[in-house]
Amino acid sequence: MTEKNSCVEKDALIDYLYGEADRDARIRVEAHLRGCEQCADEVRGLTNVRGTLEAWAPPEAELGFRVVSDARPAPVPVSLWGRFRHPPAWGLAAAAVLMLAVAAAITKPELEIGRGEMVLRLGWSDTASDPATEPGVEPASRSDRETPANAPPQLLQPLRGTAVAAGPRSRATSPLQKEADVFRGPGAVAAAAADGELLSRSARQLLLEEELRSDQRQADLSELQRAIGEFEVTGAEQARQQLLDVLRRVSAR
Amino acid sequence: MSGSQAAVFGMQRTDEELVVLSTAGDTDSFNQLVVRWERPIFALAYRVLGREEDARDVCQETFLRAFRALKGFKGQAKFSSWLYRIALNLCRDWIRRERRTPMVIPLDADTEPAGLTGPVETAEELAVRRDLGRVITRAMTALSEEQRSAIVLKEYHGLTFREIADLQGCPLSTVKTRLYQGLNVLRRQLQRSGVQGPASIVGLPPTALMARSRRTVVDLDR
Repeated sequence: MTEKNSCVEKDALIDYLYGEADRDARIRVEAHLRGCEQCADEVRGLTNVRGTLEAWAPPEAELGFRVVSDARPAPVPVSLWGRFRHPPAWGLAAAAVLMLAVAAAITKPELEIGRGEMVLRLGWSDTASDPATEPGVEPASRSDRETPANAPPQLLQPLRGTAVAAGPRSRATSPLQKEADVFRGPGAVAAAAADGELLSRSARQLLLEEELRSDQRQADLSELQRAIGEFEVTGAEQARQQLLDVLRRVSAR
Repeated sequence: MSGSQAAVFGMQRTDEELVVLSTAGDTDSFNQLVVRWERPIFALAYRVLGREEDARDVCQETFLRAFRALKGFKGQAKFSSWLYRIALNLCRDWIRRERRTPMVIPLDADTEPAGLTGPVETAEELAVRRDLGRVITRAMTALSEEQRSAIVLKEYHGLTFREIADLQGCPLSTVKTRLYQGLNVLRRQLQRSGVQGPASIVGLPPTALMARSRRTVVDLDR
């Protein structure tokens, strides 16, 4: 192959052409090109070739090769989430046992057996006699405290309603207590009644104090009770009456 | 997390991470590598072989061999360099086995060159470029396989002189000689075809074309 002689060494020329010559080499080549028309022409020509090559693009071919797994399926990684979405039966059983254990730890059950009776007393039954820690009553007073004092009355109404609604529920036995009742032996009913009497007295006393502290609250309570009572007694009757009126009007046309 | 899940969450894994996942049997990860590299490998094969069908075959075979040999890839080189090596070996085998001149000039007018990243071309510019593509394809047949590969790897894939030397298994100065000789052969061939330079073709100064050329190279060299 015939090769055009160049004053500049071809390695240095290629480095310069591709912009990879260091600073000193670049200065040397440029100084030579200024004085040598033959080399300058070669660099111009090769630069033009590089520019021309830019127009050479491969065709837009449809490729899309994909590797598919062979007959032996690859191990499919199972995420933790995937496992927990479908818990096995033994898992549910274990969860149930754990729940019972936690419930037992919280409620501190006491089992008394004697004179043909068995009493299972839960921790919350003991503390229930203290009005300050009774679970049903506590939210009522807290909800009252959290009510902003400067809030507009129409906003206060529903909040108070909630508080009052929690009141009567607090007089009843708590769900945990109810569950404890299931385990009670027949001879313990009297003792339980005494407990219940004490509890409801405490709750009523607390409610009374609350009501005395706030006249508005008293009014709300009585209004709510009246409304509920009215609805319970006459609601169905009124609805039936209204329905009959409508029917009568429709049939008269 | 599998490769496809990573893609869903918009995470861009490196080639090397995908190789590790692929080696562990995650074909999704390998297919991500295929998606990432199939265009550059096809372009390399097309420019070395000059025929679309053959280039597609070599491209497919490259990924098939890579997939089978993945366990032997220990990360001693960049994954892309490893792929290039497989593809170049296949091209060389193909040229020797077929014993025919590569670079059959595509006469099919429907063969559209891939779009450039530059401004939208007019129909006239596109026609000129298509003609120019044919002229370049013909000019390339005058080069040896080594010269052609060196020029393609440098001009279109932005590989360093050192990377080309490693791929071709030759000293650095040999690569520069191949580039120098190859560019000079192309220059004569193009002059013979009446192509003086890019400025005479699409009415753009050579510097503008070279700037676009470099940008294309950067895109390919991820």
